[in-house]
Amino acid sequence: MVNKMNIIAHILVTFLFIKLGDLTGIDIFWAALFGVLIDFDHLIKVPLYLKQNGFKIVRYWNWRTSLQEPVSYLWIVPLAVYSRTWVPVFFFTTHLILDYIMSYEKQPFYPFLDFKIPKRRVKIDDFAGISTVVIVGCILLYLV
Amino acid sequence: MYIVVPGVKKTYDGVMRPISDLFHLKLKMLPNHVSVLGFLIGLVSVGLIFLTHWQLGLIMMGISLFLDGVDGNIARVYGLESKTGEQLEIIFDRSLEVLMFVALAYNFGVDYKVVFLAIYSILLMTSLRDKAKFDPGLKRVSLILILVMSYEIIISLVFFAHIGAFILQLCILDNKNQNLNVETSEEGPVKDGINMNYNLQDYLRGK
Repeated sequence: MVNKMNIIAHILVTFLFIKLGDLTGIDIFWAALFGVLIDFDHLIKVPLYLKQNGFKIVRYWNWRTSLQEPVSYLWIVPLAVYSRTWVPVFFFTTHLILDYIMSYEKQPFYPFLDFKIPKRRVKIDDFAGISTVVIVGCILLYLV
Repeated sequence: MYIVVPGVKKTYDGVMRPISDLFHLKLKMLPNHVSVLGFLIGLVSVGLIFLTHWQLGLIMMGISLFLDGVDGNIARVYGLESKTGEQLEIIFDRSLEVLMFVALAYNFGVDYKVVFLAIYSILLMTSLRDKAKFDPGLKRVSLILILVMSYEIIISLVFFAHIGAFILQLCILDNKNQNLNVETSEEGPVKDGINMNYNLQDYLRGK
């Protein structure tokens, strides 16, 4: 539920800002890539998951990678400078903000620093996810 | 350079052995001496490129690169590997790359912004090189392509290759980190008093 809600929130927010920014052409590609598709980094961890757990279902297994942490600004900002567009940085930031609402553990600066933001015990995932979807959905309805 | 494919390093060392013997046994040179010699030849090549003799400069750079391979080979074959030697090699390599890229940009009138981005990407990749044990090694070698394509394209390729390498390093280290966390955790799959593992049958039973 949480993951589904999360990806829907990413899609909606990305769509909203594409519309608000009146983006066209390659900028839509950058927006989709850094707003939504960057979530596919979880696939990188599939072999590790299978190695550790086989086909068991493990709840709350950490699927996050550093590609969705602030440390990724180190490569996204230069990429944006090269491409002469602010779109990757902006959409990555929106993705990051939505992710950081969630309660799972984060390591913002790994592998440069081992600092961790621990998993919160109070679970507001569903609340935050649903709220985001509702709010963004309303804005979209208003705009469309 | 870290050679990723297993067995390649052994073959490479075997092929380079006669040359290493020549430098170490006949000329009595230590790996660091060869590194310094390679660096000096590299500086000459940079000077030649600045003076617009870029073809000659690239030939000298080839010799410098060759010596860059010899020093590591001597160190491995004769058990002379040291942390100082490794650091010295990194400093020499990165310095030559910076100078070489700037010299070629000056020579070919390429946008310096792209050159600085390429240099930045190489330094970024170098920052995780030892931790991730991965380095694509496409820096000065890629300049050979100047014979068939424009410098601007080559420098862009260097930028993308090293940004890609940095992303790969992040993934490698993420996997290592998570593997380590599980192996060292006494709790195993239990966190916060909750058993995190469910096999499919238990899950379907609602346990």
